[in-house]
Amino acid sequence: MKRIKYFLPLLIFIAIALFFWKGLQKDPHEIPSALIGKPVPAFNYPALTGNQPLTNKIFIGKVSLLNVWATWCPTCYAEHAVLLDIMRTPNLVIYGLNYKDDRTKAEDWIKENGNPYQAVIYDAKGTLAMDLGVYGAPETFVIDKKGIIRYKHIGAVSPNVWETKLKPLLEKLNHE
Amino acid sequence: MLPEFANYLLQLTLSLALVLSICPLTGTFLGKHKWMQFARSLAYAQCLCLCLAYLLLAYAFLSNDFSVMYVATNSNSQLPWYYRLCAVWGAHEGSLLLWVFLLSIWTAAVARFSRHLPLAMVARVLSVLGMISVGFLLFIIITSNPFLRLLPDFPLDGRDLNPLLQDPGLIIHPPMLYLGYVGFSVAFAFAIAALIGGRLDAAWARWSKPWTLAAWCFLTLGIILGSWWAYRQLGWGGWWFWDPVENASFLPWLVGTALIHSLVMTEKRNAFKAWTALLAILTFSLSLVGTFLVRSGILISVHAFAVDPSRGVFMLIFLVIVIGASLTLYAWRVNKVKTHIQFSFFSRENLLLANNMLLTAAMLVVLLGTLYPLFMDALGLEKISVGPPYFNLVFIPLMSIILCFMGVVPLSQWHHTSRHLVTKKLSIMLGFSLLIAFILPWMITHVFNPWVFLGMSLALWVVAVTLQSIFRKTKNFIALKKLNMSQWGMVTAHIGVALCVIGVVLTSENSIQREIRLSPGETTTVGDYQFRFVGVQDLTGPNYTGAKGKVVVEKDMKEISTLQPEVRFYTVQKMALPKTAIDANLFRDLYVALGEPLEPFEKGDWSMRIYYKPFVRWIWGGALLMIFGGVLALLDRRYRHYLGRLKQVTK
Amino acid sequence: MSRASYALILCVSLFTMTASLAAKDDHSYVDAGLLRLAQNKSQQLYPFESPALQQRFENITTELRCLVCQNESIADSNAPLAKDLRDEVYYKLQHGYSEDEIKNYLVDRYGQFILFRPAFNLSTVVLWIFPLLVLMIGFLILFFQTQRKPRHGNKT
Repeated sequence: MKRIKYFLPLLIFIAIALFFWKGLQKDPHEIPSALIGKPVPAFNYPALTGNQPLTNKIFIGKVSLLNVWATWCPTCYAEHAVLLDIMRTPNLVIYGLNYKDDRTKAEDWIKENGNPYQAVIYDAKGTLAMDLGVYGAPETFVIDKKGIIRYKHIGAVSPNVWETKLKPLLEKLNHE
Repeated sequence: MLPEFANYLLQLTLSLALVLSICPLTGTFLGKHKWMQFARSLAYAQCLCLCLAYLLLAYAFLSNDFSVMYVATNSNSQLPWYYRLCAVWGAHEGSLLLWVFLLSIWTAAVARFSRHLPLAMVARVLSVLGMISVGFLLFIIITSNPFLRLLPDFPLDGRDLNPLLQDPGLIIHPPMLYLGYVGFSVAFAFAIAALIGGRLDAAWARWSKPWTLAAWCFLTLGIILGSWWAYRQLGWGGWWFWDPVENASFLPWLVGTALIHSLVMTEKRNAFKAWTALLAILTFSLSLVGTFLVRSGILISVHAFAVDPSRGVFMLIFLVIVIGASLTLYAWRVNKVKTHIQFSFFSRENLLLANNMLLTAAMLVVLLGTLYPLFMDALGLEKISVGPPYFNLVFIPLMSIILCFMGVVPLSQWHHTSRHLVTKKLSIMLGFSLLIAFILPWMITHVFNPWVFLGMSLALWVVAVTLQSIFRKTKNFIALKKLNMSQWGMVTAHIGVALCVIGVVLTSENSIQREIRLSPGETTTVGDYQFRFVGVQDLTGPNYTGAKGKVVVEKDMKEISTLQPEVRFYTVQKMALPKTAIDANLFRDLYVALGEPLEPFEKGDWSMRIYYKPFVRWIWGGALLMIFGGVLALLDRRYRHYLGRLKQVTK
Repeated sequence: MSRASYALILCVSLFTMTASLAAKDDHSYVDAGLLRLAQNKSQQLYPFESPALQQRFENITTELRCLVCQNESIADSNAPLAKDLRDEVYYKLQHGYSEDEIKNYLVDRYGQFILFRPAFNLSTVVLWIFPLLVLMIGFLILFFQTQRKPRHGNKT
């Protein structure tokens, strides 16, 4: 009995080492969204092109992606090509959220690089982005048919991310 | 050719370290003197090889040899030569080489200054150090070799050193910190050697104490240099952020401080040997854990510079082997050690024990706070942050209690202290410090601030009792000589702590910070000072461009200083950094950091941060005094005595 | 005899602890610097009518974590997101929101991660209780160490 206390430091260390082992498999910089399982907050914002204002109703009825982008974000360029491929997926709508950007620049960007988006919400001051808990660009939300946020991907959507993470999730959501 | 030779040197050192870790230790079991004596030559050879390898890497940096991958990623031909030299330890591979190089220096130093010790003990100690060296050399050679080449297509120029690191503070911060981290390996090796040999006694404590003190001094210096560097370089006037990387260096410091005090108890009273051995093991283990936390990128930190998770696995395995094995050895061998002492509550033993408990508690609290987000994440719970508000809340009360005890220690005596004497003296001192702590700040600011009152009274309490104890011991000033160096060291270090506390409290509570917008020619008032913004001009440096502002500071219509804060844009790394301008004196810092130009740009308006930081220098000054106390204790006659004997032997 | 002294030290310690805890939550005293601060309002990036509100702004912004820079508070960071969050906190304070309301607003959007002072709940209970626990165990050890009549004690 008396000797057990001398093993205590060893036991504590083993426990900590196990946590270190688990921690090494994870990326500490990835912060999951606080909005998972919650509906998209109500909004009414101008579209980047056209006069029709956009509201949170657009997410109802179809599984959709909401992609946060800006012309000042270099990784968004690389991502854009991937989005143009993805847009052909059946039963999927991609919406864009233009984040703290210059309107003309953003319009030119769409014209030059092609438009993967059904519509683009124009958020000049980043207020909607703040409601969505966006802290950088690019970020991509996966939203189900009822308009509920199910997943958020931080960083560019690469072909690998699409195949392994987003596509399986979208298929699952389409069957719900 | 030279990098290949350096590579060869690393492998040669690995084999030397392997022999060092096996041969002398086996010799102690088989009783072979020759094998044990071999340890010293091996330690010297190891140090020599690593020194050469290190110089070769430094030469690669100086000569801009971009065919070496590590140089190409961390240097640039435009980088000034002194930063090129520091870039050697600017990233992962090089800092590990520095780590193991410093370890070999400590090993060689132990070999050199241990002639008065029994040969078997020396052999064991050097073997244990050899084992640590093997682990780190394997790590360097397998996963992080700084001498890898980029052949045949090497870049014409390098990717430059991280701009945050291009600062004089960095020239000495990492080597000092590492000297401290690595230095605790000696205390660790002594404890392990004593456990293996079954000789955990007062002699063991006396042998390892100077080494522990030296390592502690280096670690303290490393920490305050880091603090000073962050204060100037990060541009928001903070000097301690409770960042995981800072905590990683603070954890071994807390336990190391406990260890120094515990060694005194073991040395003087032959008491608490098992506890002291555990602290010795813990101190070095926490140094290793700290290195792991910084190097593996497992935690989020402001300045995790050189991060690679894939290397984390190797380090974790190494950690488990070293710490796991030593704690197992500890649990297995330790109850062979028994003590018979008795003491009463107001004895010095008990106060030192309290100090140990509290410092260990502080360590556990900081450790838990640092690792808690990791625990939550590993368990799949929500991600949380544990930041400065938490640490301040839990650490300050603990620190206050430590200071309460610290005041009493100098008056106490071993075994038992006359309570009557103590209570009378202490109540006078308590009253005195409370009174001064109330009056002094009130006279200056005309405001009663409970924090300032608390901090000042604790600091004054420590100073008053410490000074009083000197005079009590010596009766008059002439007899001050009677105090030995260890006592002087204690007095100096404790007063250093008190000054540091005063600095912390006054800076935290009376600082003024302003985030403002100024047009050229405009004046703003911060505290008693007028800051006149003259304007901004363009700036071109060796590897950066930028803007240089000019701010004239006046007090009572008299110009006292011209501050020239800069914003630098480092062209290779594409990173903008503020370079702060500080006017410092003993009682306050005036600190200006340039922000960004504001619209409309034609007007020339800039945003900037201006700080008035009273007594901030006292924090580092107090810490320097602590280090000085450590150095004084190192100069104690008992240790010099050994050096004297050593000289005779070598003659 | 030893018990009395023990109690004395314990009382002093507890006093300092409670005093410091109380001081932490009490922002009602006004810093001399803040009074002077209010003078040149026009130059300030975040001007406030009252020093108390100014103080509250500083308290909130130093306790919120900037998410892009990973380990700086939004008060200290130069990142654009930190500026947006400062603006939001400033706007909400000017419109009469309380400290808790502002914090909850941001937690709803960015998660508990944004709080540098973790909330007290089931998953952080260990974090908050642990320091007290460690302290109590430490005192208990000290207490028993001296209580033990050590004539034949073999303390290791």
